[in-house]
Amino acid sequence: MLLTFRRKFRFPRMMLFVFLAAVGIFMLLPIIFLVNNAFKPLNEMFLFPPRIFVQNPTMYNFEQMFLHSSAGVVPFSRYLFNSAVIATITTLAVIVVSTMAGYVLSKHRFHFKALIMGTVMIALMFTPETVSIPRYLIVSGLGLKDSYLAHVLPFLASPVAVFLMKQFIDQIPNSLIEAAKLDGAPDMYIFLRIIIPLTSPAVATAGIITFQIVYMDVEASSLYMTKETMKTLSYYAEAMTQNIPGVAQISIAAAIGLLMFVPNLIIFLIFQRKMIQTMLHSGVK
Amino acid sequence: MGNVTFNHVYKYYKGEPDPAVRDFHLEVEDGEFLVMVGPSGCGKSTTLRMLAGLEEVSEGDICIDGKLMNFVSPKNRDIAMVFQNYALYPNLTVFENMALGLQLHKVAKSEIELRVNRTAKMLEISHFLTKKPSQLSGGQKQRVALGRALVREPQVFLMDEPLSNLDAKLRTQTRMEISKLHKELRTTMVYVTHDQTEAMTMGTRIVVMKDGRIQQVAPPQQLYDEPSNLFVAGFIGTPQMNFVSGSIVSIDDRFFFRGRRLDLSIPESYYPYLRSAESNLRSVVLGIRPEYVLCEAEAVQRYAEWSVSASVYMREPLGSNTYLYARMGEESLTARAEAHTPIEPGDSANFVIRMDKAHFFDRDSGLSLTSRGGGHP
Repeated sequence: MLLTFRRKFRFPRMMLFVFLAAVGIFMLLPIIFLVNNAFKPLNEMFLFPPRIFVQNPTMYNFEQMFLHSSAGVVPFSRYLFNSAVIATITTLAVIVVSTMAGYVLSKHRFHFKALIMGTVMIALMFTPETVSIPRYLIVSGLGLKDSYLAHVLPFLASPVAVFLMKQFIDQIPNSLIEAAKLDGAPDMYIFLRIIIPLTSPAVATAGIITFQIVYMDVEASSLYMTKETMKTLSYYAEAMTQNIPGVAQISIAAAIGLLMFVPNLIIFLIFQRKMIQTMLHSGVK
Repeated sequence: MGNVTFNHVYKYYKGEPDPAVRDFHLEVEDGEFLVMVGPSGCGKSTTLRMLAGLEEVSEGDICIDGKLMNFVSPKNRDIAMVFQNYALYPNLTVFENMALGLQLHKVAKSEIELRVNRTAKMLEISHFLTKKPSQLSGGQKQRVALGRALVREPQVFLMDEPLSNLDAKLRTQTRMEISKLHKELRTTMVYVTHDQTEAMTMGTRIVVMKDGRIQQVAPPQQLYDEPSNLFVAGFIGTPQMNFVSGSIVSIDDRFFFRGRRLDLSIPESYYPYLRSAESNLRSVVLGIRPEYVLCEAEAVQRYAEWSVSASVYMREPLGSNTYLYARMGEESLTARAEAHTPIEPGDSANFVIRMDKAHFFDRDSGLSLTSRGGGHP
C-alpha cells in the first residue's frame, strides 16, 4: 500500500502536480475575481491595494444594473432575447454548414478542392477587423441592415469550424464510408447517420467556439443595426459600461461582467467532456 | 450465378505514367475461391476495389454474372466486402451493423431479424449482438465484419486482407473458418492478401500479381510446383526457392548446368524442353526449393553426381526440421535438414541439389524454360 503510494507520488511527479495546480489556480484567478467583484459593495471595489475576495457580499451591483436598464427605451429582456435567438441560430447553422463542408472537403474528390481548402486556410489568417469594411458593404448592399440575417450571415462562413471539422473527419477511415456505400447508403444517409455521430466531439467544439464568438460580438449590433430593438446583450453590456457616468459604471460593469460570463460557462460545462476529446483527437492542439 | 469476368482491365491514376493495373484478364467461376496475392503496391487491392465499384475502371470491362458492371454503383452490384480494418460503424450495435445493409435494401423487418440471428449463430456472435464494436476484441470484430457481409447473401464476396490485423493464432483459426464457410456457402469469393500462406491454404485458384500485371494464375499446388517465372518461384514458398546463376551447356548430346562453382548433369526428362529453348541457354537461373537440397550422408552418397560443397553460416531450428543457410562463393543456398542435423555454422558440408526437381529460368526474361506452364517435367 505504502509502496504503491510512494510510487505514485514520487518527488518529481509531486513537483509536477504542484506546478500544474499553481498554473491552474493562476488561470482561474480572473474568473474568481469576476465572480467576487460582482458581489462587492462600492467601497470594497475601490480598495487599495485591491482584494480578490469579497468581504461583505451584496446584490447592490445587480440592483444598479436593473435600475439603469429599466430606465432605458428598450427593456433588458429584448437584448437577452435577441442574443439567445441569434447565438442559437448561428451556432446551429455554423455546425450544419461546417460539418457538410468539412465532410465534402475531406472525403470527396472534385475539381479545385485544393484551391478551396487553400482559401479556407488563408481566411483563417485574417483578423475580423480587416474585413469589417467589405463585410459592411456586402451586408448593406444586400439590404440586410436591421435584420437578424445580418447577425447570422457573416458568421456562417467560419473557416475555423470548417478546418476543425475537416481535420476531424480526415481521421474517419475511408473504408467506413465505402462499407456504407456497399451497404447501399446514399450520401446524405452516410453524412447524417455515420459522419455526424462520429464527429460529435468536433461538433461540440465548433459549437462552443461559435457560441462564444457570436455571443460576445458587438460588431453586427454597432455597424449593421440602427434600430435599438435589434441589438444584442453584449452590445448593451458594452454601452452600459461605457456610457454611464460616475461610479455607477464600475458597479454595473461588475454585475454585467458576471452575467455575460454565465451562459458561456454553462455551454462549456455541457460540452466540456466532448471538447477535451477533440483536443486529443484532432491535429490542432 | 456469381461468375466474374475481367476483360483486359486497366487502371490509370492521375499524374502517374504507369498504370496501377494493366491488362487484367481473368474469368472467375461461380463458387470459386480466388485469391489475389502479391507484394504491396502490385495492384491487387485496386483490382478488388474496381470490382467493388469503389474505383473507376480506366479501360476494359468488368462483368458480374454476364452483366457489365463498369457504370453500376456499388450498392447495385450484389456484392459484399470485408475490409482490413473491419470498418464497423462504431456508433451502431453489432445487430444494427449487420442489419444496416438489409434495411437500406428495404428488406422486411422480420426477415432482417431472421437472417441476422441465423448468421450470428453460424459465426457464434449471438451473445454480443447488443454490444458496440468498441466493446469487442479484434477477432470478434472480424467475425462481425464477416457477418455483415454474410447476411447480405450476395453473389460475390470480396475480402481485402481481412486477417492482417489479427494475431497469428487467431489468423490461423479465422483462416480455417473462412475456408469452411466457403465450402458451406459455395459463393464466389475474391480474396486479397499479401500473405502467401493464406493464399496457399484458402484459394481454389491463386492469382499472383506484380507491378499491376498478372504473373500466373493457377491452383495452389501447381503454383508451387510449376512457377511460370522467377518472381512467382521466389514469392511462393518459405524459405524462398534457391536461385543459382549459370548456363546450360550441351556436351555429347548431354546437358549440364554450369555455375561458378558447380557443374551438374541435367536429367534426361528435361531434354525436350531444353532443346526447344536452345538459343536461351547461355544465361540461365537454376531454381531449387530448400526441401530438394539435401545434406544427409545417405542422400549425398546416393546422388553423388549432384553434390556440391558449401560453407554453412546459419542454422535455424524450427522443431520439426532445421534450415541450414550456406554459401557457395557468392551464391547462397538454403537447405531443409532433419531437426537434429549435426551440421553447425562454420562447417563446410556437402549438399545434394536434386536436379530432377530443379527449375530453369531465362535470366533476362525471367520466364521458365522447362515447361509451358513452368516447372519441371
